[in-house]
Amino acid sequence: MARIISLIKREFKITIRNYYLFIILAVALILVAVIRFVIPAEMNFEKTLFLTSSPQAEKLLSDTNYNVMKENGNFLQNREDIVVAMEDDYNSIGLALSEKNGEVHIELITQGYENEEIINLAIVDIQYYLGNINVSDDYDVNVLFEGTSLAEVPDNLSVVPLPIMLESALMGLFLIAVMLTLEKDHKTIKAYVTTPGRVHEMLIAKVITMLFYAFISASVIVGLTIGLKGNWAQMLILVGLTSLWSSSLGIVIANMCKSLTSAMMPLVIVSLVLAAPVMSYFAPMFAPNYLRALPTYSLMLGLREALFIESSNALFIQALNYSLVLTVIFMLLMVITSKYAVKNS
Amino acid sequence: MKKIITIFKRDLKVARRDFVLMYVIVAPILIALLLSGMAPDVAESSILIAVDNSLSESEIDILSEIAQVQVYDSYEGVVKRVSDTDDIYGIVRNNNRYEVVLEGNEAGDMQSMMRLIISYLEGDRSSWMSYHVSNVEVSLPPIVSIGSSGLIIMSIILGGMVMGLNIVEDKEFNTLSALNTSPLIKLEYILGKSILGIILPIIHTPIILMVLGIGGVSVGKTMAVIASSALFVVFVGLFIGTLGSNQLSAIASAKGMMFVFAGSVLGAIVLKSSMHFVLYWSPLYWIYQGIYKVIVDTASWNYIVISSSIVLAISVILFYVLMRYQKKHQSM
Repeated sequence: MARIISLIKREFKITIRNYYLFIILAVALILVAVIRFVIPAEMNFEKTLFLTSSPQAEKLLSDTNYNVMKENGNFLQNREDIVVAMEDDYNSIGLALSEKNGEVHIELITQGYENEEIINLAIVDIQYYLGNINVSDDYDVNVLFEGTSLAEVPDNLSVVPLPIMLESALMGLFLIAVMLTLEKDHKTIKAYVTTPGRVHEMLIAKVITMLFYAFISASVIVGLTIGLKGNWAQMLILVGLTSLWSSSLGIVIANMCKSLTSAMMPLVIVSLVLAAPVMSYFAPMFAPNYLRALPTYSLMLGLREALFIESSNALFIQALNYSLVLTVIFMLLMVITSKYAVKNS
Repeated sequence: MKKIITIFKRDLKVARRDFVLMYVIVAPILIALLLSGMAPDVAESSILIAVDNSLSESEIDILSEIAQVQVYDSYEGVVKRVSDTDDIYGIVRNNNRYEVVLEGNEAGDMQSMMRLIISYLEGDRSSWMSYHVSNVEVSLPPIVSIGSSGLIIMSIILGGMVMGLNIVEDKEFNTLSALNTSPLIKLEYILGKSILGIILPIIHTPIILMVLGIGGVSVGKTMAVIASSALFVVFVGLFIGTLGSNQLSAIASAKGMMFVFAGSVLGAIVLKSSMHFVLYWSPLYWIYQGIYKVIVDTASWNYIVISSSIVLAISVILFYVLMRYQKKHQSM
């Protein structure tokens, strides 16, 4: 135990000397500033609407909501201006309203990449807005899990689980690989195996150091954005477990590569793959099985639940189970590959 | 020139020995392949609705026009599906009334969306205004156009990082000190180290575009943007090489720097164009915009010349500041 503690102290010294603690704090504070002051509390994910209409069409639309649409959208002088504006904004649609045989004619201008269902839904939305579809409230709503709504959470705070996952929890993946390759280059591991100390103690010390940094980073981000609200215990458990398996994975990758430059590419690929579920966070309807299979998918939902939803812990438990299994697997792999790497060197 | 080539050859030799070269070349292509596998799923995604057999065939057909409909045998099947982690609405008929089944944590304005869908389901089209659909011929879905531009940016950053780590390696093993005693001048050393980083995006760009099935892209405009990024690649490499005394501090400085620059690319993707002025300071923003506009075919030569000039101008300023720092601190 005393050996592990002194190894942890050594890791802290090395990382602090190389400004890593400073960078972690700086990045966490930049993220806090971005969340609090750059991302708006109400984000608009809707497509930008560019519209134009002829005076005759406007006259025919005087009894509809068209004026509200005109005020909320971006009114342009003609169709050509709409095309130019749309070319500059990939997330936009255009609407040109004209008069045809005494009636209003709608031209929906799309980008060209939208699928049929999206285009049809846009048409339905426009017809509904212009009063051509009768509003029906004649239906029942069955909410399966009351109290799980995120509607009250400001949009800027709702993204907090993502930096915690990508920065705090997964930071070990890259950093630990760097630390290990540094040890390899300096041949300190070779020197260490000649002492009574065991290699796995050295690795555990590195993993614990990463765990500590993960907690610091997550605490700064959550503390300065959400504050003391949310379930901190659940959040820290998920961050901690993820840090453990991601650090172990980092060591496994580093063990298989000769230098940091050669380890960098596998690390970049793994990091990008692990970051892929972020798409589903912003577009929850897009969650194919291959994204759901990634541990970061359940992790980000588990973190969201821990921070914002008091009445449920189903997603937390799902993420917890997944993280526990991965922690065991990657720690075992870490020990096996490390023994192999030491033997080979 | 001979000395520059020798430095480059040495880097190439070291890179080949540790499979670094293979990794560096293959990694962005591998990610492009993964992206091309995902792209159709993203492009086809729309609203998901789960229904059971209480809805008639015609009702399911009507819903299928605006959403991807998944049909289940029973109400329990719909409830189970809606309880899953993604956002999917359930619509069933219960005592001749529609019942919308929600999980409770769906994103966006569910009430309005549901009202729209039920109203559409119950309404008829006789009162609809006539309409037709046209497009501005942007056939590439954003995941492909943004994804490919992002991958090219990644290749540019990787080029700088490889260069930086090579310099740090030279520092660590005292190769740099040895070279300082040779007739090699600093500029030759920097140029020699830069070649690998500069040619990486030149190799990657056509392959990424090909893997993602993007054709008809102007070669001249693409290469103009990539060429303008060369000085920025050198800056990234030198920045890492200057601040990093070992690989750990090199990665720390790379992380800090890339966090700031890559943030500008993220900003270019998510911010409305009216807010882009806050990103004008970043060369990566201009490089990203240039590549993106070339890929979606909306970049005029005028735009390419202006954006490339801005990239060069900012890179020169960054370069100058870095050189002053180097001189002051004797860090290379």
